[in-house]
Amino acid sequence: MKTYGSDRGFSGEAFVPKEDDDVIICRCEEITRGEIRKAIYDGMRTISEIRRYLRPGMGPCQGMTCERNVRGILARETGLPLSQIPGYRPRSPQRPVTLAELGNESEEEGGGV
Amino acid sequence: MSTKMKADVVVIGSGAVGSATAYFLAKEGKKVIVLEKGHSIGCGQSCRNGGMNKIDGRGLGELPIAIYGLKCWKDLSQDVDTEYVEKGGIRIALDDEQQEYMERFLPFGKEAGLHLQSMTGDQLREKIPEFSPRITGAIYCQEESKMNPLKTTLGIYSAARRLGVTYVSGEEVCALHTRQGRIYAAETKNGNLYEADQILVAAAYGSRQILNTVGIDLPLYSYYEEIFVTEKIPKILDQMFVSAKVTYYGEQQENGTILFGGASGFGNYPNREWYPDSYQDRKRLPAEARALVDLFPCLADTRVVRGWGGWMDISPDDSMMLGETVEIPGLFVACGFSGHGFGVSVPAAKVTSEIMCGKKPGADISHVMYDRFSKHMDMFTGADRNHLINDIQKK
Amino acid sequence: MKRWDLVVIGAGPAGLSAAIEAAEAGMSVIVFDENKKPGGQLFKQIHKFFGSKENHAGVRGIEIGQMLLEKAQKDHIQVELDSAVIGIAKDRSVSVRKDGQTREVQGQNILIAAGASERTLPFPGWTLPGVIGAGAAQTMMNLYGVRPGKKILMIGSGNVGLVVSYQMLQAGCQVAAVVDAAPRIGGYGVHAAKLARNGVPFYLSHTVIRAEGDGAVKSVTIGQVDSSWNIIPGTEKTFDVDTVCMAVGLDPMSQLARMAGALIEEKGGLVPTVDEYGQTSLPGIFAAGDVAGIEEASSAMLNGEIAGLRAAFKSGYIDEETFRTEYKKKKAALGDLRKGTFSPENKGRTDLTLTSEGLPLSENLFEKGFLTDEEVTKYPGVIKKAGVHPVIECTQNIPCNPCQEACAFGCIEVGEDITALPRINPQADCRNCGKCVAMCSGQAIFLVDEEAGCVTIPYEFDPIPEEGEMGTALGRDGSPLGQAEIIKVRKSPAFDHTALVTMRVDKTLAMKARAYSRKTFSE
Repeated sequence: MKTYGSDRGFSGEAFVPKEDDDVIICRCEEITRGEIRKAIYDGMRTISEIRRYLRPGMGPCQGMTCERNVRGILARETGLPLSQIPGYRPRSPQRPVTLAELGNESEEEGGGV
Repeated sequence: MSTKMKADVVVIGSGAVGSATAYFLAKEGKKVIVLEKGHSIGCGQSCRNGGMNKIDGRGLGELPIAIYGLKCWKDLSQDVDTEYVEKGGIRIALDDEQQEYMERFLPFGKEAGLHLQSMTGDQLREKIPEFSPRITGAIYCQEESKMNPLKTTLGIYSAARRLGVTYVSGEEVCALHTRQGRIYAAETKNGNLYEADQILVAAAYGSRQILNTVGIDLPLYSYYEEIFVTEKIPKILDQMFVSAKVTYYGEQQENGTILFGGASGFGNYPNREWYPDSYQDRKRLPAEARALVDLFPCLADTRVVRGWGGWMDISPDDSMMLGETVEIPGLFVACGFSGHGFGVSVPAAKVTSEIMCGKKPGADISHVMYDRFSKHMDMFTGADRNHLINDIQKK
Repeated sequence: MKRWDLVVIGAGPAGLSAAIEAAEAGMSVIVFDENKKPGGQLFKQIHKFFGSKENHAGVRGIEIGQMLLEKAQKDHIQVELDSAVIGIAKDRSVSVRKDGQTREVQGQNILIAAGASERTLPFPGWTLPGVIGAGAAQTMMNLYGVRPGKKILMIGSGNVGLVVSYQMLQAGCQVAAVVDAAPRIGGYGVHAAKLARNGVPFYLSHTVIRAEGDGAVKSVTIGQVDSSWNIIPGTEKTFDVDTVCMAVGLDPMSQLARMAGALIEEKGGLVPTVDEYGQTSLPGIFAAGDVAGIEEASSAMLNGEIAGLRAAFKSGYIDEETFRTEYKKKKAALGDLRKGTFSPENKGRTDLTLTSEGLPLSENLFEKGFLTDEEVTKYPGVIKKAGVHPVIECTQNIPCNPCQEACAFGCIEVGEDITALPRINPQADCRNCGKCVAMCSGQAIFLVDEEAGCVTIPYEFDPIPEEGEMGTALGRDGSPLGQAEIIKVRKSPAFDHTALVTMRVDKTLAMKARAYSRKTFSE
């Protein structure tokens, strides 16, 4: 993975608004393409930083809908190929689970049939 | 291809403490380079914590800095979107023994200038009815606050960049170097050298290894904890809350999600060694889920969307380690925040930047100097990480 | 915590096939699926599958799903539905949420067969109600019997876009157009032909500009793109639709593999790197099906079987000789599926011009979805003969051979290489039984008697025309050609819900008419 060096991949260009900046990329958190692009210019150079700074991928679907699109925007803005942009770090629980369910541990023991 | 870079200050570690120190130094006109070993900025405890500033219950030596923080946070929030909300915090007792334990702290907190109020469980539930009937008592601290750790950490980074701070990620420091007894440079695994007149080591547990290369050893140990976040729900409380012995904690963010974490004791914890390279031990989640529902029965049907964990750097008395090293002029440390660093990250950084600029620190740091243990190097077991009344400080 | 020889995550074609393979070798197997119904995508696939006869070609997806389930039940495999695997670690423990509980399960081996999710294409207006994924539309129609909308624009001309568009026609929706930014149709020509002859236009090298509407989609505008993907001014076209369907690709749901810490690569999505047996970089953890790389159900089933076989060998349930023999067979079958014009190695190529036989691939088929009247005669499936005979308009190398088996009289040959273009044997006698017409999964076979002006077409719409009714014959491009009289309608259980409709047209139209509309023909 590219480590960006001391300029962290910043090309020195200023942020230029684009026509499709108001298209929503993360539906869960309602984050637009422009907000993501601006965040990249504000210094967010990795998928992890974008996610933590703006919250795409933090809603109920945990990035299933937006991950590829956010990676694509980051790839385009930094000039890196998509293959060098990782995804969001998947964590447990992979599906929303209520606190009651999560705390209700089953006591099964023994081998499978 | 190795490179050499020079600056006034090199900061090792891009978390809240490192980045905020860089930010304050840049405001004073210093040229600063921040070195981060990871691919992303601030991806250690700064982006994994629960977003709370617990003041009541801290090691007493930290109180002056925590109080200083009340001003520092508000000032910083003018420049960075921290979502800092100062609506107080609550420490919860589930029995008389816990209540008595909490109340031992009251005179110290009041002396430090905090507004603390002891109340019964019923009085607490009058204010916040969602709390469980199991709660027997509480201590309310008016000065406590919550904030968004992700926005804050990365916002500080972004603000520091705007002020001209240079960040290098993927750059792990492997050794420090001195010249004629004074700090000189930081060398990295990539073979690069960063020269500066002052170097700050703010690398959490990693600080220990880095300082070892110049013969300084800080008595830190590493401790893992799990935390999770729920879906967004309507506001039920503005105050952060912790258990009596500050073993588990939580708060509701401005966006409605609830962060909750710690080691509640509501279950068994398997051997953490199984997952040395990952930041999650999901088998702890059920126990923490039970603990949250125990405090807030109304949340039984609230859904958890994500869990994660983090490694904390714990000091023997649960309090931070600051200061310019006596051994090597120009070398400063800021670590050992023991899992409750985020709330004091900004004032600790401000104080560090002040002493690095030769100014009088805005808070008394004499009880959190990094070398206070050299006189008391007992073997510590790490069993109870909640020493509140600090023998060393009372002396 | 319960222990199993094999824990399978996902009860789709890959998962169930692996479970069956492992159980039949003697392993204890449990399968978890988060859905309430098993079978993964199979239960939405109402069309007949391609491939070889041995691997269920000509059988509808829903039946393949049913068959897998029955096998699993017979093998006493525990399939737990409504059970989401919410966590996994490299020690092969998984956390499962089911029935208001969470439980831990330990596997000696784990197979991740979680499938894929739909990609999205954010464009202005894409969050309006009415913009949905093609998979979602398919679920609505085929599982719940709900039309996604009245008039639809389909974005994406891969097999998913083509197949779902056709299913929308079958459900009684109108399909305004199929749009793709690529210069060529990405899916099989025969799937495109089914749409073109029913009047659905194709717009290649076009992309969607915006969807508009007040609270819901009312219209969508597309435009042509140049080689730099910029819209060429003046090429905007607007369609009045209430639904925009996105068939823009699938994303492997590799989150569990990533959580466990497997080595990941970008291969049409983030997938775990696997060896030829489906093993990831983590010992005892396998991946098969779409989660390891998007292909289709037939490859998913074979990859699942291979993973199950490997796990059985690894855990000592079968010996090395059995393993190698069985693996060789499955590998060969998999190889057969991965050949031809649409093979994985040809994916994305727009420069192919010839079939493996050296015949030209139809450019018109690639760009407009239909063969021209002139070029159709160049292919070995199309011959001139007196009397009724099959005409096979299958002109790309696709691994598929049920037509060969369909004719008991030797009229149709494909041969050893199942990607070869089907050929008509002019010496053989066609008995007009119609089996070939019904069995062709691509609906590309017709029975034609030029002298009599009779054309028998496969018909899968509702209602089926009645003998004696008059309507219009449509050409390959969907244009009305002339009057058509329905002279025969044949239905049979052997045809598996494909009706054979014979229409009589002017004999000059016998080699042009390929679809039927119930509308009256007017000059």
